[in-house]
Amino acid sequence: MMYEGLDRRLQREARQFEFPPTPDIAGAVRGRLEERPVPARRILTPARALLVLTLAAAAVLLAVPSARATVFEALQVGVVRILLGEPEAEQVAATATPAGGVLDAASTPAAGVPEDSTFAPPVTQVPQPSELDQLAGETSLEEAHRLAGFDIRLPAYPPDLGAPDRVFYQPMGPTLILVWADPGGLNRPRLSLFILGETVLLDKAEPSVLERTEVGGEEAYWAEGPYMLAIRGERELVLRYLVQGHVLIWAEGGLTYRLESGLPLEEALRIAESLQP
Amino acid sequence: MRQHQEGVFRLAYLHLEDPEEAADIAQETFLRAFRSLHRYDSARPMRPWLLSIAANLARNRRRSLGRYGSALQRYFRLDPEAMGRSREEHTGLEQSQRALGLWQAVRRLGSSDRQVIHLRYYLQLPVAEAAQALGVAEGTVKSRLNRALGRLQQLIESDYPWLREDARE
Repeated sequence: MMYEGLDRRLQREARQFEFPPTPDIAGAVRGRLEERPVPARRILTPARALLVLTLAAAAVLLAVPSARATVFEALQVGVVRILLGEPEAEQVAATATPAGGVLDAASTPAAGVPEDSTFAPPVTQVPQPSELDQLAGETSLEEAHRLAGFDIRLPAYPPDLGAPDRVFYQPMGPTLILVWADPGGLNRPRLSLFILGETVLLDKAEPSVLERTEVGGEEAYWAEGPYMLAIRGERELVLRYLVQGHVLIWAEGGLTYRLESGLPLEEALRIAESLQP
Repeated sequence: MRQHQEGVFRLAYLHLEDPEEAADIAQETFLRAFRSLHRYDSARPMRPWLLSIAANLARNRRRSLGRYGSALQRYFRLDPEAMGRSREEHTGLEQSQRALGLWQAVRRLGSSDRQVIHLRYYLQLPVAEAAQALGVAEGTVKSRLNRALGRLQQLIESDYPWLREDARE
């Protein structure tokens, strides 16, 4: 370098430059995310839900000091990106594994909502009953198959699972959501399988448990909540539900699969590996 | 975010020289980043990406301030108390005479020169990260830096003679 003296001097003196104190940007951003208006009465399409999840994930992580430093570290499986961090024990005190580990809609209220989070949402079972009714694009399995243009593979395990009770198709992605309902009602899912095409992206907030595994020899990830999920309010999308869910994510044949349930990993893997046309 | 907010705020401050404007730009930077996360390549470091967003926003804001704003800012820089603010509120401008003089000289450089000096010296970014933030090759950063230092040296020689001895070292 030709100007080494000046270079050294700048290195030394620029370091001494006294900037004004950095304000609480994180808190301000969180506030702006919470206040962000959304047009009324919008159907919660998967595309919007994905955007909302992204913002919600960001907002929640901003609200949790321990997570801020690592908010942007992420790994990706197919079109699902998982934001990583260093969860603290108090953040993740509860998981939703139901006793018995069988297909069941039972949930466990989390005790681990961060106390310092003004964004702190009530913990609820995923998905919310009301959320299913907000999903646009409900259709039949046959019609979804025709619209999607790819073979829809369904779980053959457990043997008595049968066909999904509700099917949602969205062209963005495309995104297919297959829901197996709890015997208690069609609005109470016990298992849902998202099949995502290549033109969507889902960001999932820092899971409390993240484990690398395999489905059919392919890389997969097992994530346990809590994480954020948005539901629609009267006039805006309200990003206040912290969801307890166990999710197995893997990619196969150009599609990304996201199996969500209250099941333990072993059961979810058996279901995932049982998919067949 | 916490690990990046200081750098983003400081870069905005270097552009705008106003803590409130800089804080606003920093907030907007993170909001835009969240909305654009799908475009972010997670294999690359986050800081340069955020800084490039912040720099663009700050430049736009600076332009939007227009001549009147610039005139006000110049006035304020000459005499902060004339704007009804105490000197204590502007500690960023109350440096040692030498560091402040150097900073004033840097401020008089062209935009391209200022950018590379801000990133490399005031934010202490490695050349590789500065290159990513500017969207250019590392070699380009080095050559830009060299040119910027040359112009800064000339400026010191002509307009800041009291800094001359230090500059020569």
